[in-house]
Amino acid sequence: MFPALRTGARRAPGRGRGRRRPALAVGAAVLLTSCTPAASGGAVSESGPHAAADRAAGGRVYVTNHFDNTLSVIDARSNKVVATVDAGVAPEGIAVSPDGSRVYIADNGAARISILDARTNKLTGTVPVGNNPTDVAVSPDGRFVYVANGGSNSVSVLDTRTDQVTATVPVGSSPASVALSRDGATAYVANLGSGNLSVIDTRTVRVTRNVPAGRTPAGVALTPDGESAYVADETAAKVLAINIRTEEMTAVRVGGAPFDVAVAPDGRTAYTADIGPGSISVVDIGGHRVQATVAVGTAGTDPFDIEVTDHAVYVTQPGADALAVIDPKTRKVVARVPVGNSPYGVAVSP
Amino acid sequence: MTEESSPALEREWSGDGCPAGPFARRSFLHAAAAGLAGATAGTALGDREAQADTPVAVAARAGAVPFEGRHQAGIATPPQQDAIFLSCDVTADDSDGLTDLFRTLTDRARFLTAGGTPPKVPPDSVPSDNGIVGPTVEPDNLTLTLSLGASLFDDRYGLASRKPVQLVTMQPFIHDELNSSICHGDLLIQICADHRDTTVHAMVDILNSTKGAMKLRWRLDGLRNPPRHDRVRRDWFGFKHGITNPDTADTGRMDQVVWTQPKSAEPDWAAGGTYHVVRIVHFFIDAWQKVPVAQQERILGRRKVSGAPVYATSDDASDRMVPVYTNDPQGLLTPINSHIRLANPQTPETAATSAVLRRGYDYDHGLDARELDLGHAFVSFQRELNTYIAMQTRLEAEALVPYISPRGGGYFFAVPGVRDEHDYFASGLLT
Repeated sequence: MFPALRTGARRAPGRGRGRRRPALAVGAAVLLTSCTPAASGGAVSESGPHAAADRAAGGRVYVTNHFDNTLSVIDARSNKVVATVDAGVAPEGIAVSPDGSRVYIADNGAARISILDARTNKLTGTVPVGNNPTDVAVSPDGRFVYVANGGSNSVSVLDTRTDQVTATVPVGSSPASVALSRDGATAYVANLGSGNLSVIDTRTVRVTRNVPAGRTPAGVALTPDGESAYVADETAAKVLAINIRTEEMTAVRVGGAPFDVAVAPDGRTAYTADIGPGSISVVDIGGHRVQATVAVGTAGTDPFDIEVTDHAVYVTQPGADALAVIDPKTRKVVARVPVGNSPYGVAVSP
Repeated sequence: MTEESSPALEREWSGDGCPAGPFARRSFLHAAAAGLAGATAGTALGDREAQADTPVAVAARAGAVPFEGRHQAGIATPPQQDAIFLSCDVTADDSDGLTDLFRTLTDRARFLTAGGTPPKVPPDSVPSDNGIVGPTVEPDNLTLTLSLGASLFDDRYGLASRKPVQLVTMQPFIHDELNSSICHGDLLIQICADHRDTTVHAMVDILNSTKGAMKLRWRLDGLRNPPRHDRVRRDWFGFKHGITNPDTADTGRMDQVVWTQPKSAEPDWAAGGTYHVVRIVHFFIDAWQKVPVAQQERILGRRKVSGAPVYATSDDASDRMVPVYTNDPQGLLTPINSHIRLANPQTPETAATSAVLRRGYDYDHGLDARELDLGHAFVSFQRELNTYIAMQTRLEAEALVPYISPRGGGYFFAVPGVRDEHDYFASGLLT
């Protein structure tokens, strides 16, 4: 009975994959055709235009340090820590308002959001939310903050004028990540426990549908055109490209268990932070394949969260107490910024 | 096939008194011979390789672990295959008698760990050595580690004011079923070596040399299930055991986690020592066999085949990957009450009580009330005993509780190392 059970358990996912693979291949082909211009452009994307991107230089990078309850403020130009601020209990996800004036921190251990004034680097307030808030996203107009409450199966919506929670939206099980469409009309919530994305209409503040999203979606990011959601499927070791409209899914196998995913501003490349091998997978969005793998630390756990600008890919490395900065063109680690104990979330101000 | 090794293996086999048929014996010998040849040559079995076995096997016993040092051996030392834990109560009359006992233990440990030839005595005199390992004692990577229990610091020897500050008599955790006959003790002597005859030889030698000054209280025999091709050994539950441990080569980390530091809250004499925990944990092996593997993995928090954290699903995933639960507050991937998650929940408030140096052994004690008595000799070393107590208190809630039964052991303080040839165990405590 014992060996039989084990064999069965081992074989089942394999069979599932085997059966699903042809379907995925078809999906890939469809997406490939529809994305042909982008795909052909992908080959030159390394030297491609970055004209719109200069404003990002000179901003600030914010990193939450999970184990010492601090926030590291880093100058993006020099890659130096310019301030370290107390930031609640076990801070995790973090987001910056579009104008760069405020920073919202998921205070995971205290069930609240901490708000930092980016000018003074001082906390200006806290707002109670659900249990274990793990990720935050700010609407493009800066009016609302969406908080994934991992312990409460809900999303808290915070009005930034009043700094009050105006709605609490029930979502799937164990929401781990939240992302907004560029027009701010839709929020996507990755439910780690229920294997789907909750799609929230931000006007009605209701879940309009749930989109299947693999086994354990741990991170979600949107392409700039708003057509696709990229999902880090942690235990499946895959990144999933999900067509928002058709719900069609294409899976790309990555190097380890992806903990987070980010899409480059040009929409051509997605990056996953793969725990286990401690590397970043660079995924060609047009071609649906891993273009490159960037080792960021010693194998074991690193990295956790990832953020991409035109100039840099930022990756937190909890095992190394550092933030790795990768040049997206050369795909080399160009800096390793020592931060606090077990850095978790990362966000970049404009 | 291997003439030289067969008699030895035969002896070991028949020593159990196990009525093995010729078939079983043959396959055992085959396996053993293949293992030896594989270890030495790694090539196909042939007469030449087989003949090379014996000298190599003998040479392997020449390895010696230095006895003297800032810290005792047998703590940061990579665990040997075999262990005996002896708990003894001191019966010496006074503190001079205690000092004599510690000097004797030091002398015996120094000789036994270095090896050599015991003094010759006339055939009609009492032998100077028990002869268990033959006329010459080989070191065989033997270590003898002396630790003190809280009871030694009572009023008998005037040591009350010098007790390590956190040293207490082990109190039962809520699911413990402690049997007082295998708990506590004035002293714990941990004897580890590569082979069973070496540890037994040392135990008999020590007990013989210290008659009148101490008496045996309890004894626990342990062995290390050897690792297979996949690096980490498995316990009787079939899971890889002891994956996460501080790097013993990292002296900074060892100072942080294991060694008592000078100018700390501890008495000066204790610097370089460490708190030594031994727990005798019986495994309910029958009940465990009935648990589906997926549930076993949820109970322990790791994959059974690979030993990797649950986020890694491939059978060949590395067990060196560090578990991550931070995005899983409800324990949907790694249950909150799984063994590894309670041992180290990876939260800021538990970070200070989540690292100890484990050096455990498996035990196989035949039958207990007609049930297999298989279990784990949990052994850990830590700079603060309270770290272990906090960790084990968290584990009171673990899902593994129905499958294990902690029955004995105790809390001890491993004294600092013996510095040089003039020094002796716990000299700083006794002078």
